[in-house]
Amino acid sequence: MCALCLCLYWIPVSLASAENDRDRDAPSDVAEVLARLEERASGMQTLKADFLQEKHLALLDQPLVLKGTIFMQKPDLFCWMVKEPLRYTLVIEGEDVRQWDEDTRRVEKISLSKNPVFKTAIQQLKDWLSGAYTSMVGEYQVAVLEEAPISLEFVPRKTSLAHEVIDRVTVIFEPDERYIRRIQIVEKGGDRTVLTFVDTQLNTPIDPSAWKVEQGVR
Amino acid sequence: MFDRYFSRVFESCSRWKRLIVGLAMILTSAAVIGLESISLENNLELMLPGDDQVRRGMRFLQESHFSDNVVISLEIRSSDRSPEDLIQAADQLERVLGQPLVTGVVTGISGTGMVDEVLSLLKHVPELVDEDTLSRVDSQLNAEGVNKSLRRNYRQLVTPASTFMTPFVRSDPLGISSGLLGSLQELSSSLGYEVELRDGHFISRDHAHAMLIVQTPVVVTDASRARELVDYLRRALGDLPDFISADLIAGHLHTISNEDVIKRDIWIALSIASVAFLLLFLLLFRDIRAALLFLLPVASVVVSINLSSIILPHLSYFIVGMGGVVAGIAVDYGIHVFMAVRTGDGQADAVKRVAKPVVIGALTTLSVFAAFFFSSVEGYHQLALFSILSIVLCLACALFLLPQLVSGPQPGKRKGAFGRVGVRASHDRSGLIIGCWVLAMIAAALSMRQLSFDSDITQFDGSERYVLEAEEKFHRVWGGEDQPAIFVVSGKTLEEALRSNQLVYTAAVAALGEGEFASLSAVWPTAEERAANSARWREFWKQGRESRLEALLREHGAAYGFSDDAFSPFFENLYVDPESPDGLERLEIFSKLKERFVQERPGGYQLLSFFRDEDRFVSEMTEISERHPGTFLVSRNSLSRAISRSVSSEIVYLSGIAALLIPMLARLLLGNIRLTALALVPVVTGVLAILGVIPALGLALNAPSVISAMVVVGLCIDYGIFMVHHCRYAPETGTQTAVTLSALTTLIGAGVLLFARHPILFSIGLTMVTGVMAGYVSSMLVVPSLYRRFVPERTRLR
Repeated sequence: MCALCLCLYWIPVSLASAENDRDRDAPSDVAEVLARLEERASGMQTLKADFLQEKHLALLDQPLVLKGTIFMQKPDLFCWMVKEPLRYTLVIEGEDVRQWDEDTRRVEKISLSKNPVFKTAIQQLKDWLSGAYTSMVGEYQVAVLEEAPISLEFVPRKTSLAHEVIDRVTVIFEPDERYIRRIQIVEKGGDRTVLTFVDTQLNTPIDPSAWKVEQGVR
Repeated sequence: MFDRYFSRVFESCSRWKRLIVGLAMILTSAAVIGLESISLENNLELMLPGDDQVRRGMRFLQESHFSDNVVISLEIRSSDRSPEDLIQAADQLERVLGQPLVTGVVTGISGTGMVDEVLSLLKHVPELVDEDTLSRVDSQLNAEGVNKSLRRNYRQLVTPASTFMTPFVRSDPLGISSGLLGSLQELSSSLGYEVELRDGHFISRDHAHAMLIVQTPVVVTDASRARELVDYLRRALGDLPDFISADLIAGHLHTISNEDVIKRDIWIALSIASVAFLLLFLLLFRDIRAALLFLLPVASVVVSINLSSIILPHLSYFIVGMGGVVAGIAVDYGIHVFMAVRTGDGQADAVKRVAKPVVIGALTTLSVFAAFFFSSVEGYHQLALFSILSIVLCLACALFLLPQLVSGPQPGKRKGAFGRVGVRASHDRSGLIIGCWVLAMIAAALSMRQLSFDSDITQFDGSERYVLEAEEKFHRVWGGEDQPAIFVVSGKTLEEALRSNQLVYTAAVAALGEGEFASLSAVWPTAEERAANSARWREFWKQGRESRLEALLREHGAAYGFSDDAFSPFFENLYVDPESPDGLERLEIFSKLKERFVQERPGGYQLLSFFRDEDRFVSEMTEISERHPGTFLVSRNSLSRAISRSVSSEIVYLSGIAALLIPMLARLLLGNIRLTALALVPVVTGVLAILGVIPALGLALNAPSVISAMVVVGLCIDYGIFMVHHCRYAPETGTQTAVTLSALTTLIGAGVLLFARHPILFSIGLTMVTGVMAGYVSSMLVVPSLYRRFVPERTRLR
């Protein structure tokens, strides 16, 4: 399916002239909130969190529930490890992606630079987790839904890759605003994904074995 | 017979002196005025061999749209600015650029419609998949095959990018389109640039640069319009915020920069040469009439430029750049006549005494230039015509006009400034001179072993540093340095071209391997094949396979939690017929593919395919091209090889002609084999010096230096002939001074090119200076020494 990602990227659908005249700046109150959140997240070097992902898809009769752990280390290490219902590990180091699953028991290597949709999806997840919110203003219109705890709504702009697939993304923070409690993605077709983080640890040393995709083999 | 005819013409000129001088002045004045209206070209093609492969490749690159686009790379210069500011700057620039110099600006790829576009493409899968793919699908229509596909789809749902994958999983549960999508991936790889998309804009990996592609109707070779375009773009870039800098990447910049460099070189060369010639003649002869020695060749060159521009449709800058060199050669005849008139007893007799060697010397030089007419390089034809015209005019002026103008009392009449230094030295130390010469020749021969030939066409590009630095920076940021080779298939209609392209694609995949040949045929069969594929697809599913697949998906999908209608989009589109035969072409994805892979040309279409420009691939594809008429390939490597091959064969050919003509003419004048061999000593010395010095300086031989070497041969044989003539007859015509002056003027004419920035002009200058210097020294010292030792007394006429 990596080829698909690339095709999406490659199609030069039209000259990117749409929305040139739009206001890319977030409203001042939103900008203030984003800046505050970014400031609080700025000291983050590593992140480790267990996650629970519920996918409510038309494709499935029942919600798909994933359990796993996410690791992140600035500037460019990322690991998405699923333990249930299927063992799957994805490690990203810079532009290189390695993924392993218990079915194929093979490590597949791909390049993020050649899979921009994959990269966009990962980058957005990384941006949300690392607090790089102001850089997302170009891709999303941002609104503050709740102040306590902070809840933000991201609506993809028309020129962004996400626009056709994603209707909106809601990000809810922990009360101390240091990290995210939940991300909810509502798709255009009505499918919904809720990603909840538990036991989040910031700036704790991460075992180097976390970046070895082969851990899934063990 | 020569003397009789010469006398007759000379006497007629004396009688009509005023008329001839008047006509010469009118003609020269008209020619000077005419220079204003002459348009010169800076077309690289003029300097390339006529080899079909080379010309076709160069023409293809010039005419294709690749070279006409301008790329702008914007950069944030301030660390407190974000990529958003960069995007705003790109948008600002896009808004201000427009007609007539800019027809479109691409800042990126809009996300709008992408998913729909690929989903629409999946609806066309029936006409795009072949019989082999259906056989593979057939083998999957069982419990094991369907279960495997379902498991793969399930795995897609656990990746972090699953949100984007779901619609495609539903539309293609068996992964039938994976081959097609894989081929599209290969096609995209042939782009070669490393871009990220941010807010629909091309952004570099370091997030500090944005790229815009500017489409323009201005062709790269149109220098004046290119200048307009670049000025227009620079004005627009000047309005960008201060924290943004911009680099322009365009073939147009090369055109402008080359023109600037050549104009500057020509101006500097002609200025230095003019001052040097004038000073040399006036200081040496202390006679204001010596200025004629400078003015006559200059007038001849100016008239020749006019005549050449009338005869030739496109006159190259390079040829006019050679004007100083040609003037340096043509001035020799005037010098010999002037010296003869000053040192001889009577004007007519003195001119007659030098006329024969002067004419024979001119004929040998002309024969070298005439040999260039046998070359396939159009630029050499121009050089030959221009040089022959200049030399003939200057020779006529030297023999018939100059004596009329310098007649009368001779101020400071003397035997010649350089006396008999060379001959005296050869008397005293002939053994030592010959020994040193032999050693120098051995050293040159040893150095020659390091000689290489540089056939890289980029060496002819004299673009200024800022152009090349911007390109280097662009490649550092955006990649794309290793441009692929291009395979071109032609056809009168698109379908005809597609049919040939399909055959080539099949052969290329077999020869190079899967994924090594990015061809439209990988995803776009001919209309005929598409119709056949559609019919086969319908037949395939209607034979009960549709219901079997539905049942299998329902039965095994439940284990993964897939709903009963999970894959309904696939079945809904199973028999969707494309609305019209060109339905596929209406998809944006294919119209964009067409833009990149198809070129409409007068009288037909060209389909382009791309592959790595490596020797093995080029060699394999060359073989395939030979088996498929109407195809050719364009690669930097193969172009370079073809130029090298072509230039090498030209060198052998032209050198052969010169090697025959020059000894024949020398033999004609000197009437003796041994003397002819002596006259050839400066030629051999000059050529060996060139071949030894170029590698010693760490340089390589190239086409311009080979051509210059042939001119050196033509000059050195003159020195040889004059010195042998002098040794034999010892006429009181100031031969040694005349040869010295001839060499000096040529060295001035060619030496000024050493100041040239343009690589071609510099190469010419270096070769000429080395060859003429060596040829001159050997003619003054080695020829008299060898004459004394090896020419028998009975041959000597003193």
